[in-house]
Amino acid sequence: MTTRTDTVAETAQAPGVPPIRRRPIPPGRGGSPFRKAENRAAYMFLVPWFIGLFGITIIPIIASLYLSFTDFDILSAPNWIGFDNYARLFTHDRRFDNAVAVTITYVGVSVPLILAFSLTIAVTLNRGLAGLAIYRSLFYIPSLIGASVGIGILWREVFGERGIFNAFLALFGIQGIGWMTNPHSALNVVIALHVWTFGASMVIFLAALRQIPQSYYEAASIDGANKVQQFWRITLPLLTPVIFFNMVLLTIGSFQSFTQAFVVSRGTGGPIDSTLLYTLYLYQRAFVNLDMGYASAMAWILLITIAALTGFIFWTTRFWVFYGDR
Amino acid sequence: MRMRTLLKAVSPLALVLAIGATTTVVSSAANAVEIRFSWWGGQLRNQKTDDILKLFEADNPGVSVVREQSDWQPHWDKLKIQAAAGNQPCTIQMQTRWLSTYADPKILRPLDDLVADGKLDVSGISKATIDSSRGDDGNLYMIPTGVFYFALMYNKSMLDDAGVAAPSEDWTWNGFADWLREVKKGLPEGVNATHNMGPENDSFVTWVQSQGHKVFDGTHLAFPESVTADYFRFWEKLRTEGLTDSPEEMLTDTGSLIEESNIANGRTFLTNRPPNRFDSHQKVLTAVKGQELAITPYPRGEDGTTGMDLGANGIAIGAPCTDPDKLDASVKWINFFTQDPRAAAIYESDNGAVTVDKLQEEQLNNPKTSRGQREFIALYQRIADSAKPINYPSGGTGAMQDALTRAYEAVAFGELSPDDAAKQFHADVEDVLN
Repeated sequence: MTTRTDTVAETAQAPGVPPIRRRPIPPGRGGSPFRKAENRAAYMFLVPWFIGLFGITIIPIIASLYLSFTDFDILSAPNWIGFDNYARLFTHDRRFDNAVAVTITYVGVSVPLILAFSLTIAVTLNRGLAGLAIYRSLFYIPSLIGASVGIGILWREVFGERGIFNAFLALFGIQGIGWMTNPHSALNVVIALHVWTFGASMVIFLAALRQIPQSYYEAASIDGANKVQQFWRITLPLLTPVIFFNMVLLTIGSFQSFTQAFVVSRGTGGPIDSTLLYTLYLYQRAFVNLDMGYASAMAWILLITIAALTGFIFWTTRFWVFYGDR
Repeated sequence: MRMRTLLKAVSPLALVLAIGATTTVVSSAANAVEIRFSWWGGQLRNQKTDDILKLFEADNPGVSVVREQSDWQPHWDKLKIQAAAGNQPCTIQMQTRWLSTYADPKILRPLDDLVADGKLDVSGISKATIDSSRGDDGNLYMIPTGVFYFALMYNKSMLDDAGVAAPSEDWTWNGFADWLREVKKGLPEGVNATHNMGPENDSFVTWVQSQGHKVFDGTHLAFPESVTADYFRFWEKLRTEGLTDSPEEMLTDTGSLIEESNIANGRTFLTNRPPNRFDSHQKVLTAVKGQELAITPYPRGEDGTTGMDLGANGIAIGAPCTDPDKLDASVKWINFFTQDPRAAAIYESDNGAVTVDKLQEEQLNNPKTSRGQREFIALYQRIADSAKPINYPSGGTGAMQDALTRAYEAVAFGELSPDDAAKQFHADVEDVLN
């Protein structure tokens, strides 16, 4: 018979494997009043976090699922309408289709661009550049402030018809357009603003580059591999886990992008809905049209889409992510 | 251990201080009433409102008003959330265009009983203006304090330089277009004859009503798609003739920032604006170009039918304001803001022509009133009888503006024909409202 004070686990061990030594439990601790008091104290410290978790995350999420089956308009009690909101979204809503198309373009263009930019800059900075810390900080700053309202307003002014960008083009005799107010260029400006915030991915790439053993490059160099070959055969394969990590984060973040398009288009998603990101349309239905039930249905579709896409990216890793130990 | 000793020493003192503080709060709360007032506005209006509130508080010792100021859109965003949580202020600035969204006894307190027993003073306010502040259920939900309208604002100095006469106030849409063509010949290089009002709701509803149609029938649009298509064609013709700003500029020149607007910087000859902002525009134009502005009503239909909309701003009482003392203080505040000559003199019809006849006449004839406000009140008095206030359904104003902007943008950027854009506009509004 074993007691709680045993210091050695008397479980079946393979021959030759030393027994696992477990930390002894002090006498009288297990189930003691003192232990219970300790637990209570721990839970007391966790209470603020639990309040936040349930109050502003779990309960609202469950509530939004219920509301997605209602016609809730914020100002009066919700009525159950079954799958009507979902049916309307998929069959009757032209703007929903447009918002999906705009968002797919936005994510599909900006995520690869951010990955490419951040990797290129990280590889460049990793070559032992003097003043690396300064460059790293400079490139990182946009990702801290890029999603802010102030920067959105700044970009709107820079790319406005009388903005600095057009003044610059005018030096070369080029007549600019209102980049943000032209439906053919507005989304490109929003994408450019998003790509500009590549600093966070870059910092992660930089950290990963530091982890690649120098000996790999030395060996390759002795074998006659040039820098380009080294990049394709050593750097890139060893970075794939980090590329995967950044890709997942960027994809989720990009689907949730809101502020830039909201500020740049003054909340309209215009011109002609060309910058109507999914989240912006969701906001309009919820807070402009007071169609909170409909917006909740949109939120759940977004959640399921992001989860499915993330799952799909995870599934593809078996084909392209190299962990080095397999 | 040392901490425990310290706590022991400090706790009696803390207890005394806590009891003292509570006593202070209780004793001051015993004879004080605090109400909240939320309104929208810029810096100038905030200052004026604060000055009036200080006067009110001085006149009513024991009553204090918590100021809840916001810009236009945040005011409504906040109110929606407050109303959903049952936390709306006792006194809320309200507008007829948005009233139907909130005209519910669970959100705003019906005011008829307070008017009937003489507590709320509506003397001097016309019955038509009072009735415009009723909800679909017939209840009175706000006391109107200022009447507003949109009209056309143009650069009088440029008109004089071009040698063209000012328009008569009974002009038609075609007469308006011909007049612009004439003016354009004499405008300086690079100045647009007019801002393109294709996506502007105020211009659009005036067009619809001047063609002899109502805008809404309940929650449905009450005019045919052809009226909308004709409106788009009208502005497209002016645009393709080079009389308006470019489609890109049309979207930028929204008028939200007066200092940057084309009319205030002499870059456009004419635009549509609420004339109660005449002075603010004139101030910038004087500084930038030294020129003078003028206002005139929207054109009429070809048969002379007028179509201008008229709205009112006012003060409503939030439904949760049931405490008798707070309700009494709220009523006093509304009466003070609406009827007190000192308040009216400070506010100077900043958010619509003051609704009390006597005060309106006083402001109109007082040489101390600014030129812009006098012209604004004078034009209001000329159009008031023929104007056609629109009864917007809940969410109607926003739905119209959004759908109109999208539809006309698509026409101006060559994506849709006027007929297809009109079809899209009607479908979008119906989709949101029904």
